[in-house]
Amino acid sequence: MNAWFRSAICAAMSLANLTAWSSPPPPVARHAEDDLIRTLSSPDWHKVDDALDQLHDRYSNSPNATPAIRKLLFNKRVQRKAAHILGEQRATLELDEVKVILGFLRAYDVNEVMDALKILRALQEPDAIVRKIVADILPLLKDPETHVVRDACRTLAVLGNKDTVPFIEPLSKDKRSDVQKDAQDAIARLEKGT
Amino acid sequence: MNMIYARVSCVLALSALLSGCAFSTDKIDLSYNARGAREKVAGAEGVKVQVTAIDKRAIRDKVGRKINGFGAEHGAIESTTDVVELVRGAIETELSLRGFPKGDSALVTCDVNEFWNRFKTGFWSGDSIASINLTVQVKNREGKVLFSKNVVAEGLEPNIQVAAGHNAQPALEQGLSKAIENLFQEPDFIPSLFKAAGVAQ
Repeated sequence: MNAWFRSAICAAMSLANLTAWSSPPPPVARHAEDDLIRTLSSPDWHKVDDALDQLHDRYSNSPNATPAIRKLLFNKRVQRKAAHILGEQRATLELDEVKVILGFLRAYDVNEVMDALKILRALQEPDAIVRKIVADILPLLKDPETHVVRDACRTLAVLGNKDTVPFIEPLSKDKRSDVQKDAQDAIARLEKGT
Repeated sequence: MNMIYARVSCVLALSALLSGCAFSTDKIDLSYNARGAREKVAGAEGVKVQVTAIDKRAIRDKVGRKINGFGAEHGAIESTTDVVELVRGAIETELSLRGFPKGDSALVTCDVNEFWNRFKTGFWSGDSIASINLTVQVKNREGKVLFSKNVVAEGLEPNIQVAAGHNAQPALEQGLSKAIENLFQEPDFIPSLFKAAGVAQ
């Protein structure tokens, strides 16, 4: 039995070794920020996607790439990643750019909707655009998916005002305890006006 | 001896039942969820739209087939919902959310060419991939075609362990959702409704 066990361990280690040796080589040398920004206008979306990743990893606090990333909101291939980075940068966007992110709220995939809600609550927008965002989020309070409703409550808690409270109020008595809790927290925050 | 056969048959039948046998038919209840808000189109209340859909699928009684671990096709996946009516209703719902009332001043016809889910097997897990293919036309009362577009979309339910109906359902629903989104993002679609109704936008 011991001999069998030793052979099994040896075989597993050999396999691991083989896998490590056959794994792809590390990515090519990383570019400087300016090069990465230039790559964002490449017609090859794989390169653009990679440049976005690198900019996000290495220059997440730098605003230099922001204008180029904003343009990528209109590129269907990479728009979600671009929106995600702009959210992390707490960027201020124009209405047509915000509308792209509002479009994500219609996605079938619950995770995509939740990501969009997180991006929207991170943006720094003027009141007129915030009102538009709030109006677009309100229907999500009636969504059948619990996680969507919860994130909608959390986003409205950040972007809404006292006028938003009546829309959230029914959820404070919802039979789903986690929805109830998020709704109550949102109402408390909105009534406090913080 | 007969008793042993009976017991073995019972165990096989039970295991097939509990493990979702690849040979049985799965029935799924497809729906369309119009999530989120839609912007009302200015002047849409003056454009009454009638939506019709026609089934042009090669296989009409199924929306996919289950596969076994070797990729061989087995039991059918059937929709309890009428697929053509589901597509028609989805377009009508989206138009209504944008402010277009029902009526006959503009006609939207939709050919459902493909509404099918296939499974892709992988080493650790597989994917459920749905293909939706629609041909949408906008016509005026005289039958003149003002918009014609082939709308294609794919739905994906990744990293699945069982190639069965419950994994085909989210892929198909996502595919339909994307197809409808693609249609309404066509820059000429909404303007063609106004043209068909003879209403200035």
